[in-house]
Amino acid sequence: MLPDGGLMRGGVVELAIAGSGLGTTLGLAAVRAFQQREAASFGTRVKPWCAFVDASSTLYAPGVAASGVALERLLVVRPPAEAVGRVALKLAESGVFELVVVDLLGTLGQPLDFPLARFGRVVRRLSMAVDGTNKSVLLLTDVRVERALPLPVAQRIELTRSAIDRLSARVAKDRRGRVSAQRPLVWTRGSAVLAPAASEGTADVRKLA
Amino acid sequence: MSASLPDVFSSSAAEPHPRELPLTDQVPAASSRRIVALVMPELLIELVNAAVAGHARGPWGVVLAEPAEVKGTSDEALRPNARLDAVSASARRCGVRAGQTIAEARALIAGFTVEKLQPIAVERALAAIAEVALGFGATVSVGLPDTVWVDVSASAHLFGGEAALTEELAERVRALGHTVRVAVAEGPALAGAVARWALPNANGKAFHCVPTESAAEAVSSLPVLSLPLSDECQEFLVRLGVLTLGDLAALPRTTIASRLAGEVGRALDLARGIDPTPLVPYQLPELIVEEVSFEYGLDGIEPLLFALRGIAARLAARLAGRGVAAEKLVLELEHDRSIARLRAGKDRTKLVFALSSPLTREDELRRVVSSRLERARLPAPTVALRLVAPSVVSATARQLELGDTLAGKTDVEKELPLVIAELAADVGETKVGVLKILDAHRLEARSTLVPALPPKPRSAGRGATRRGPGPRSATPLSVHVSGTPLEVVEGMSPFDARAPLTRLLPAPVRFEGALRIGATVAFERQLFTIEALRFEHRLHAVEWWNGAPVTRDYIRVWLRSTESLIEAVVYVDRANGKRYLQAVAD
Repeated sequence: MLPDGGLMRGGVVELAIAGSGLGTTLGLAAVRAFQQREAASFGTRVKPWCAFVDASSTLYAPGVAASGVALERLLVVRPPAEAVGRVALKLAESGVFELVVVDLLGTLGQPLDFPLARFGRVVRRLSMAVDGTNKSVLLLTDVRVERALPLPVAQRIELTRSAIDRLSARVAKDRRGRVSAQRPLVWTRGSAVLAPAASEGTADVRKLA
Repeated sequence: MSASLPDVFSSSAAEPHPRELPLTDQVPAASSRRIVALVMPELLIELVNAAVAGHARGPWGVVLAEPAEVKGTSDEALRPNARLDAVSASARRCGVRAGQTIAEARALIAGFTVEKLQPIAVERALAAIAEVALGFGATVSVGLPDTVWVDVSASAHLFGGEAALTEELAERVRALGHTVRVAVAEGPALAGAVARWALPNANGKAFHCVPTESAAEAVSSLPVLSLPLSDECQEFLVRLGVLTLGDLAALPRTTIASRLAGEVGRALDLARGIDPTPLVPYQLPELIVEEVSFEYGLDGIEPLLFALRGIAARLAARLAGRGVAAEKLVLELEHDRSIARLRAGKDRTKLVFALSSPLTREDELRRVVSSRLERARLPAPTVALRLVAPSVVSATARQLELGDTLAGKTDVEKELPLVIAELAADVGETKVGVLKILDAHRLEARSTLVPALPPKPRSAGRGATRRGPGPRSATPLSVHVSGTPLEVVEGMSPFDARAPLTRLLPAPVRFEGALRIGATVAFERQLFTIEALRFEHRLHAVEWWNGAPVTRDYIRVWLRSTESLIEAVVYVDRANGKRYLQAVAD
């Protein structure tokens, strides 16, 4: 469904979700996919490091492990809301983490009142940090939050959960213009909706762009 | 071999006047003792300059305070007959020399000023140099006011010879901000004399080496003033016309023995290149402290970050000299007391950095400390900055990977501890780590954040404490589960085997509504309808040993709003019937 055949590498992807349904699960699915794909591509059992910026301090270890994520290779940072941008930049600029998931959404009962208007500058710096690399940054945002300007991300995917096992998704923004209309998806646990795109292919396309 | 004097000696004009020596860089016999002397001829001037940096001044000199003055009367005016311990280059150009009285200096220069320096400052500077030198030899000795010796008898070959060793050592000392002269000889007295009195040349040689087998010839041109003899003895020799060590060595021992009494034996031995003087080992202080103070309070963070570079570099050099790495850092900022009191603030700010992985390099230390310092709100201008490494462990060396370096890859093993340390300094030590599943029945007790990197074994430093085993890892649970049998893997509860609960609220939120399909509840000013619900399991009198046993029924609910569908877990406290939203599978 995604234009690159998976989550874009070398860019910042925004996953805009209606409400808080399924955002964390999809973020963790992306982490699991990155850990497995990178470990397989290097022919090693050692999984690469990913990071999760958990400003609401609610990420739950048994659920993360049940999502297939290697807990010992997922760095969790729980900054206050005003430090989320700074922390995300440090993680992305270090070059250590294959995927950095930044949760700007919170959860039911623990929402994040996060001003996205000031996050544009941070997103630009995040883009510069991962540009030309095989690493990605995934922003989890609320599609309903009003903003004066869209975030300067490389790709924006909007997701709605219409039923327990059904999603509808659309690519609302793509840096190469490959937007799509709303498309229904069948969601089951473990489906590779956000597996990373093949690194070589995207690198070539990125050069052309 | 011809004389070989280095151009690394940048203070050729400094006193005493150096003599050209027939020295060589020949490698000595392996069995002989080899001592490196580091003489910092401008140390006192450099220390005063560092304390009052940025202030233009005329000719000036330094007087070391007496120990008695240090105790109570350090602020009293200097007496005119006090002797100068060092003078600035501009004063030297006007004819003033160390050893003259203040009155004599002022007779030559009307505007001559004098700074008083506390001996403790000199001792600290020499201690820092001694710790750097420890990385080059097992035994280090310190001699006030400006000399450090290091025994390299058994370590020179590890650095590629004496030339390479002394060159690297001199470079390290220069990095601390000191002018240095270096010499290698059989003993500390000879090495010190050569380092202090030998004439620097610009022929590319990096050090003075006095070969053991031809030491007498090598030191023959040094003045007798270079020997550690009493003033009376030196004056007597000069009156006799014995000006150099060569002249002294030519005298028959039996003839001058009666005139020079006890000192003759040692003087003649040194003149003949024999130096059995023992090296008194320097005792390392337990705590590694580096500090800098300012004459006037510094406003803002930028000047402090600049000063931090210097003390971080010195601390890193001392850590490297000891072969240890800091696992904890403390930065203390001392503020202007009067302004702090006026603003009702504290006169000290203390920032503690518990490092997830021990750090030893200057850039690493600086990055961690500056990440918090640059956001600190200081109550008043800062007059002193102090960086302390209260807890250290053995530093572990790691082999470089040439392939990765050439490919420009990020060295994860090197960078990760640094990133974690920076983040811990920024947001707090307990806010950074990896998740761990714990063995517990209550949902809220099953998840915790633990340090991301395993602790290093402690083999150095003080405060070594045995670490506890840490939280217990999860084991398979035996929980009664209603409905269909579930696959329960190790470390997972029945909750985890269904749609995993990815979020746990820090505190349960009261669920104000009926628990039945179709009922409406409100959260965050939003209405939800319960679309489905399912009983999960019951905890009965769990953790009875706490005195407040937990008895709950867990129910999974699907909450439908106009825009989303959320899966959550609600529990009913059977003690009072109240319902709480506790976890979400979003």
